[in-house]
Amino acid sequence: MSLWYKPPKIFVKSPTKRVQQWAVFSRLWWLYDAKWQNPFYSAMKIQKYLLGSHKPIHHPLSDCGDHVVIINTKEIAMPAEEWRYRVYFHHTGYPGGASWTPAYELHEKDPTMVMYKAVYRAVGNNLLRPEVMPRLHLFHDDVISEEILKNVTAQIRQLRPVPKRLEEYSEEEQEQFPKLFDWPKEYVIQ
Amino acid sequence: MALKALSRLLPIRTPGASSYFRWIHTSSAVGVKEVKVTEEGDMTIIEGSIQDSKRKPFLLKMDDPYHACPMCALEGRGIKVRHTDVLILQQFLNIKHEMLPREITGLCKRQHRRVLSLVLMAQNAGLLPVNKMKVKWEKWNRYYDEETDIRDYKLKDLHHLKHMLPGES
Repeated sequence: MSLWYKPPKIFVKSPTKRVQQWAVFSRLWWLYDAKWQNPFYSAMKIQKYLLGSHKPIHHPLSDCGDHVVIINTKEIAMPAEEWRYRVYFHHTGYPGGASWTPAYELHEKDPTMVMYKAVYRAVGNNLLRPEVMPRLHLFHDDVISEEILKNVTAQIRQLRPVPKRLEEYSEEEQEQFPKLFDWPKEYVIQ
Repeated sequence: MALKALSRLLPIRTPGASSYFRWIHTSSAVGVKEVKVTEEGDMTIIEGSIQDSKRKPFLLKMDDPYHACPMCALEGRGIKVRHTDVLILQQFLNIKHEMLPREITGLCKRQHRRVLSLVLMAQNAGLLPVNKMKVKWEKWNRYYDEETDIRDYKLKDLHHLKHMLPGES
């Protein structure tokens, strides 16, 4: 510890403060629902929890990160035309071994791969990355094994609200929703 | 032939009817018009009685002195419609999921263009059904940020609705 650094004085006043302190030093398990979320923006948020940079004791050489469980990675969303424009590059090492696969194609092969690569890139090239990435648990569905689910204690807030498809509304809801205009008298509905 | 001759004689003009023969129905199409056929000996009487549509009990009551179009009236009350508001956008579509003409919806030109772009956005995002094949990359979820996509729409440009704005009087 260098001289200019003055460690904060921690007075444990209340039981909530005490539990907060335990939570800092233990490894928490966070749940994140990736339904209708942008994987690249949400990766920037998840990266903090993995590296532990949301904790006051964080240091780039101290391994104090948490576990993050991401569900519904199959239903991530991208803006307008990005599924087509975003391309993943791979080279086998042999001449002529280069390949470019667009994001929608990669997502068909493995629905967790786009999310994994987004987080992998957001964590950054540092010494903690190989230790941090195994603490990320990805599921394309919302079905999780109980061994993992029993550890989860908290949830990360979603970035954007999840929209509802027209099919998900019942017919009664569609009929009884307030209408803006009435059909003209002689109109025959096609 | 008889139907064709009858339909020529009738002075009814329906804006929504595309084909010639849809002017007269043997049964009620969607309940808007009910056709009654009564036989009295040699005579057969066909009469169509106009009925209230199913929408009538659920209509919004907006008494605007300037008779603004429905979307403008919503806008004047500070309600901003987004492409995720599927239940509102669905009212402007027909069975083929196409936009209805302005004569029926009663929208002004600016709002018609705006609703059309909102509907396209909702269909691209997969929130509203579409009547065409989807390409490979259109399969997955997509979202839109409306402020970037709809450019020429600002509330301050609506001079004819200034009296309805909440802050001003």
